[in-house]
Amino acid sequence: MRRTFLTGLLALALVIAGLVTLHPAFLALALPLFLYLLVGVWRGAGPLRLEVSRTLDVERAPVDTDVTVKLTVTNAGQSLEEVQVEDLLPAGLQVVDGSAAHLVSLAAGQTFTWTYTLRGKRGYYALADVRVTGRDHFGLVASQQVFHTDNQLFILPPVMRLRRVVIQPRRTRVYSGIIPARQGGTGVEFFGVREYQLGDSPRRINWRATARHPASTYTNDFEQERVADVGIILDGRRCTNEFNGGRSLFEHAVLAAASLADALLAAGNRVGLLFFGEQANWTIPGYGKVQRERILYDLAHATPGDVLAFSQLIIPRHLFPSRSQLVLVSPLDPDDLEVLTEVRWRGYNLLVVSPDPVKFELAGLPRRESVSLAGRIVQMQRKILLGHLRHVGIQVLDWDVSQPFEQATRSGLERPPAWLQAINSRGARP
Amino acid sequence: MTRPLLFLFVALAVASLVAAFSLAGYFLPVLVLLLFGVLWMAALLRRWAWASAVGLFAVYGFAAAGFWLRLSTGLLLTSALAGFLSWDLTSFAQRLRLAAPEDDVAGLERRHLLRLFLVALAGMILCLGALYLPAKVSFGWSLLLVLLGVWGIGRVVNWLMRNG
Repeated sequence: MRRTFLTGLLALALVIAGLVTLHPAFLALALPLFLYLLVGVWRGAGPLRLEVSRTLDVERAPVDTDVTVKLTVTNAGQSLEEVQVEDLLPAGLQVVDGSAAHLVSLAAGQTFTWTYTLRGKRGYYALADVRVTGRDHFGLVASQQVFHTDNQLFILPPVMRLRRVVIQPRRTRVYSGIIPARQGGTGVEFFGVREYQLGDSPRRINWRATARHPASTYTNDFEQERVADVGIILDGRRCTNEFNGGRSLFEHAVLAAASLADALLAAGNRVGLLFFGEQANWTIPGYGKVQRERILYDLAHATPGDVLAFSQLIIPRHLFPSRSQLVLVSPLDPDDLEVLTEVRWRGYNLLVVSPDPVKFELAGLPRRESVSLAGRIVQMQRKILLGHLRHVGIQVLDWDVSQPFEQATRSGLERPPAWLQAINSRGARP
Repeated sequence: MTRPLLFLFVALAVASLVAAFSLAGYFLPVLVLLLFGVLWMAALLRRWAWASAVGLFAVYGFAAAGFWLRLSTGLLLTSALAGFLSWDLTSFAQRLRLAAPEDDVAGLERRHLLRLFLVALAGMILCLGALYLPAKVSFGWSLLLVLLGVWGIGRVVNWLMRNG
């Protein structure tokens, strides 16, 4: 438009100058410009009649996986001399091979197809718009239109395969699994000795006990292993996850939540997810691979928010009865102690996986003595907080995110801490 | 191909003006033109698209001044046309930057240059015709034609701006 205006303005100025001065050369100079404008109008792009479609080779992909996009544009109208086709990508997606925009000529009925590859950060992306701009060869007349397509792409959070996550909730479900149920029955771990009952396998008779008490026969009892209800709570509060300079712990927290969900579902448990950010969002508990997909989809959507306070955390009893297992993934705030203690005293077994915000923030700060001193003070405060949590019977995994999560869980979650074993073996209530 | 041509036309526009003015003994405008040419080239190297519009207006301004001073018509016309071509090619080069490496850029360039040169040639012929073909037109007719021209150009620009 600006070019058309400039050409027209110059031509008009020359015509007026010619008229005022009665000098034919000025009028002659205007003629090429006038001709240029006329040809631009004559060959200008009319209304765009295009059919645009987009296909993706996958609709869900893990982070750092290439997704191939194929775009097809068919010209159902008149011939277009210069067409710029741009696939409008949402922020967070990045083209790694090929191009999302092309400049082509499209004859009537011609189809133009191209592919390109993109990658993205974790999230849900609606690939909805393709912008097409048609121009004449001189770029004077442009016609622009946005075509809508219904494509979506889920970039799922990364999942680390954890070998084992030991949880010992005091309440289990009826189905067999791998969590000790504190009840005698069939299992592999020795549970106790009881009097022989009709139907017991002779191979389970405890001959030593029977010899010591000849009046009766005794048989070994094994601890039943069942599945459990596990609620994973992901802390999405901006105040605990985000730091100066745009650095965020949230992606680490999402990775931990996804990996824990994967491991706990693989062990046969019934797992649900509560995302606690801008609003509380429950993924209703369920079993198996379908539930894994549900949780990963919901984690793909999760973004930190600032609306809710942690004191508003409500665990629905119909989903997670008292004494079931809760796993909180949170960098933690000193004010959380009261809420978590209350959850613990309501009877839940609580495991806190806490990405260490102090080490994370210190890694992004300049190495100065004052910073180091401040870091030590905050680290001590955090240690005190974690100590308080352990004191009320909450299992805590303090995760330095510079280490892989798998490595952190190997030392912290593959076997239960001695104090938890002691509590459970005594059958003590919290 | 577009960018070398662009620089060539800028050089041609400035050189023609310099030649026209220097042949007639106007040396101060020559110095100004040389400075202007250097600045225009520098702006093109820095890909400042607005510089070509300034260049177009300046070249047409100098050419008009040259006609007023009755300098060499051929050189002035060449300069105006070269300035106009460089202005168009700047915009085209800018649009080509939106093309992907696998696009048929050579084909687009070929078609664009063909049309542009045809228009430039036709414009040149019209210009020369208007300047050299003897035609006796009375003042009334001239006025009418000029007013019609102004009205026509105004309508075209208005239509382009509404549809562009």
